Amino acid sequence: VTTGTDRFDRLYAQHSPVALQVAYLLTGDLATAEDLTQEAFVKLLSRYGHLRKPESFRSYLLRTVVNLAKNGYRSKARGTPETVAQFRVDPVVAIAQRDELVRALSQLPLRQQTAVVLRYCVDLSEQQTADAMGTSVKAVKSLVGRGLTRLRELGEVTR
Amino acid sequence: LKNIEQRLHELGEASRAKTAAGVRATGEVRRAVRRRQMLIPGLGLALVAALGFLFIPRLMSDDARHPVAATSIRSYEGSWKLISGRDAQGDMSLLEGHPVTLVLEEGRASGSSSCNSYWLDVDIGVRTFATHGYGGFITQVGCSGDVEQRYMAALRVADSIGLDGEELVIGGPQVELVFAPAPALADKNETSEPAESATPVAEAHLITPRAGWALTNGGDLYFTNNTGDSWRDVSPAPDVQNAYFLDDKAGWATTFKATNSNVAFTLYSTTDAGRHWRSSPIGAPDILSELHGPGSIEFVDVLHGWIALQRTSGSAFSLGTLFITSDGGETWKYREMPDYGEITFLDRFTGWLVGGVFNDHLSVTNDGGLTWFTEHIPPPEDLAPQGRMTFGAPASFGFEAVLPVTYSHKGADRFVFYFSSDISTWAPYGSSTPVHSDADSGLAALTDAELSEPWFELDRDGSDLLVQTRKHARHVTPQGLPTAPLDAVDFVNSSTGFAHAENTTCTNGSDCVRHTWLMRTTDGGATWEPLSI
Repeated sequence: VTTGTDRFDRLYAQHSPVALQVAYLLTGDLATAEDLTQEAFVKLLSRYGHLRKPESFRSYLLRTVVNLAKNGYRSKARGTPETVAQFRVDPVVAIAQRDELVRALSQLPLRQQTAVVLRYCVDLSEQQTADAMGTSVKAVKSLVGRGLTRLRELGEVTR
Repeated sequence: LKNIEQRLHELGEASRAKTAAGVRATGEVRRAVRRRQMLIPGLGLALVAALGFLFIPRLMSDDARHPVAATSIRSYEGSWKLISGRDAQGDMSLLEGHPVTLVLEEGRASGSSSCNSYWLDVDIGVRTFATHGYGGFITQVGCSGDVEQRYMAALRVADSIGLDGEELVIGGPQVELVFAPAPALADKNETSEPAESATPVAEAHLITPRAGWALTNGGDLYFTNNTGDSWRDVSPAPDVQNAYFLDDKAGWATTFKATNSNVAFTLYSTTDAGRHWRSSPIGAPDILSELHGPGSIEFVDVLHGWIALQRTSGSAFSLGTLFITSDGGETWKYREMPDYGEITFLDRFTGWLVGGVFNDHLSVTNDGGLTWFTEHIPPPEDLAPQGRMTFGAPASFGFEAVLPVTYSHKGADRFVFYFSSDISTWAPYGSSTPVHSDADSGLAALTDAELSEPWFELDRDGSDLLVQTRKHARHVTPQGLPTAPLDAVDFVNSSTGFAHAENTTCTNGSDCVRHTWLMRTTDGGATWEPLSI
């Protein structure tokens, strides 16, 4: 007999890695990403019965993660400049100290950063990225294009 | 040197390895799961029925939010709109059209209590909320219902504050007020969003000031003869993938169906605005299996037309195949495209292709699409030459053409029109305008009927509309557009046009639904009204 707990355990096991990966890449801090992932699941699980398409759980989850990351960023961005600097530079330490790419990524405007991360690091399709960001495929294309241009420029500067 | 896409992919792999184990479900998630079990339809009802009132307080508390304290009280400052309220009497019945709003500033709360304007002195900490003094009302209007009284009472007893995702939660003994961000309240009265189309619209175009067509997300084709006031379904078949109308009579539509064993690609043509259609299959089955829609379609007269279809490829490539007919669709030739993208033909010989993964490659053909050459566009003289250009579809009239270009360099994006008086050499026309760095796109709408009429450029959220003409440029601030990002604007002359906007919203941060808006202007983009199909 499949219980509700089994079902949610399965959802959790299946989707928490990608949610955590997205949260990690967007916040740059594993502890923050874990909290954020937990929060996204709590929000979704408590409303699972109201989801119009429960089969699209992953889309809902990634959308919630992106929204929470955006909100977390906004909260921190409204804090002191020191807080912002620490938050934005932290990925360099957290993921790959040697790689300026991470630093460059964290310097992109938030929507460009989100689009590039979802499209190239998480390998979502343009439509999946648009769904997760709540925007259109055209907008994703534009954001990713300009984000990559900026990353190339930043790479040339630091090289 | 590795390219940037490869390094991003490696970064993804590294982060994936680090997060592959996921995150262990904490007690909070477990509790949410248990609560969810109780609320499963049927099981939840049975439990409530069996245990009666014993369960009611528990279920109420299960629905309660779990806000977290912000890192700074400045995160609470701003404008908010009440989306749910609860007190000892139960849920408050919020009145449609009479929102309860809250503007939090340092030491002060104000807003509308659904029918009157109020203010209160408040003390806010990262977790604490308290009102002091009596506050007051600026207006004294009699209110229907009890929302005002209960809301104000709840605010006075509230003692906690926090964020639940993007929502603000103010709570206290037996009270919980949940607010959604309402940035529009900050500097002006609340403006409501325009109505979205009843049927989700994928694209819409005007052919004349009155005649136009629209394709819905569900693959139905509609036609209007009154600038969108009413629409009739002219679908030649289910699941139309693409359509194009040359004028208010002649049009084409395609359907593309691929199954494991069969691929059917069909062109439908009409000469009476969709009242009757003629169908003809498009051949080339050997390559059809590699293609997927919706593609783009264009005809310059009833005989000469093109259909561009995208080929399946990885994210780093943009491959396409171009179908070409010179006998109204009876027979077709097909050619590889340098990139997949939007095609625009000036006549049966000359056309442009805006393609590449990021619309960063402009190609031109002078033989009707058989061969293509890269069109080199010089960077604007006043901007650094190392930047990168992305293109919109050009428009042409006679031997003159206009090309919308977004120029990106060092994180600063600028929009500029390029003009050609001989359809081959391009130069910037007018000065460039900045595009907000986090905007979705710089959109351009070119009135291709005659280039002496205005050309338009719209930024992401419609907050500024640049009207560029051959003589001068001016800015207008359009009214009535939705806050959703615009992804297309289409003017048929200097006054009349359509705009299309699309986004996905998540109710309570979770239940996500795609929305589309079809908007119309008849005054050159100053004011917009919603249309519905």
